Amino acid sequence: MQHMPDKKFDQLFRDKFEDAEMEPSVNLWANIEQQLEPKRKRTLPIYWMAAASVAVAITALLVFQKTDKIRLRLDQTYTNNVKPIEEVASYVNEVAEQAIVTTKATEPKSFVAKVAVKEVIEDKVESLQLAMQPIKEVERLPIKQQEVMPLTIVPVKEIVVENPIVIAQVTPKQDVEPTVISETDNFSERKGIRNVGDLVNFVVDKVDKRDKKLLKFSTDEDDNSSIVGLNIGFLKLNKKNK
Amino acid sequence: MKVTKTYTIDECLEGCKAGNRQMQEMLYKLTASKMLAVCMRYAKDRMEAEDVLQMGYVKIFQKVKEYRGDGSFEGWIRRIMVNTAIESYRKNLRMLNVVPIEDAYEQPSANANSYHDAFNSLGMQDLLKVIQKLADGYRMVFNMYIIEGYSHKEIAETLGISEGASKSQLSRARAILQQEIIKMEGFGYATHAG
Repeated sequence: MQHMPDKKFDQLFRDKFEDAEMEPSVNLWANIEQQLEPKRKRTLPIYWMAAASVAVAITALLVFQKTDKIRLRLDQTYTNNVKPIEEVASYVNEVAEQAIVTTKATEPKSFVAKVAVKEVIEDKVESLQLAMQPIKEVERLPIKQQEVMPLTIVPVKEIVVENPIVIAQVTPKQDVEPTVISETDNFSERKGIRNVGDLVNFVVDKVDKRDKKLLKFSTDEDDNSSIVGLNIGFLKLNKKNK
Repeated sequence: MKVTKTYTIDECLEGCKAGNRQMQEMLYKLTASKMLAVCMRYAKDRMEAEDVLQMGYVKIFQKVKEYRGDGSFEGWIRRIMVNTAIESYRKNLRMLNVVPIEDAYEQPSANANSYHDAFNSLGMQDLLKVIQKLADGYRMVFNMYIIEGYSHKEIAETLGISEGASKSQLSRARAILQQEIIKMEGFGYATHAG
């Protein structure tokens, strides 16, 4: 009648369970595999997200390039306006006559001015050339044009110096017309893509042929755009398009 | 059969680290029966044990990259399995059962030799049944201390009980097990005889 020493008792148990084995149910591995599987599936949307963010980055890049180009064109039209003035300065006689013709055609107001101009050109070509120089700088200011216009009515020779301004300002008008055209060209070109939303829609449309697009914006004239459609596999958003 | 070559547990390690499904399955096949026996000691029944086994293997495959090679790979797997079992117990922590009065045993009346005989005659399955009959708290302390070799301090910290409670629960568990083993042995002989 004695108690078995704990250590011995424990050792007996340990030995018994040391290499104990029990066969698990057959389907258990399948369950484990199934639990491991979703991890792989879950990575797929992450790739989708990455692809979507890359697409957005590219479109953003395109948008900025687009706006840059527009700015450049505007700068070019400015330089176009300036250049002819230099030409006018060098071919004073011809240009002056041309200018008179154009003023006839376009602006009847400066009709008086042209007579004075013709006289002056014959006499003082050199002074005219000198007079041309400051005009280049002044040219950009539209207020100057308005200031000059009434002055042209005064025919006298002393004020003649200011008459060339008329010439200078008339000739640019020839060039202004083409720039206006180019601007309207520009406008018609941009009608399709007016803002970022339009551009994104355009790019997504090219890439994604599905009915529900990866990304869709609604756009309006005020350059406001908002997402109305989103389809990134697991996530779908679709507001009614207006 | 597609699998012609059998690998050792250690040979599966690299494949498992790379997430190779076939190597994972190989490792499972090599170790699952041993690990189920571990889980069975901690669980109330086979169903619970297999749940723990499943959770344990998922954890093993997720954490296998963290295995740095200190200690045997099998030992590492076993540790994860034991931790999963303890975690599972803690999660659905049933109140540490207070021993009912009828379970307050007298000192079992048998000598050391008869215990030894009893152990020899009883199979692992029989002992498992006895362990599974223990109150959950007792079973935890018994497994952790006697089989896994945790100290009372470690057990107290892991299970959130005092060291004294761990000690008293262990001696309680021992007493109950000894009693049960004697009973079973006697029953075993009886059935054999009759």
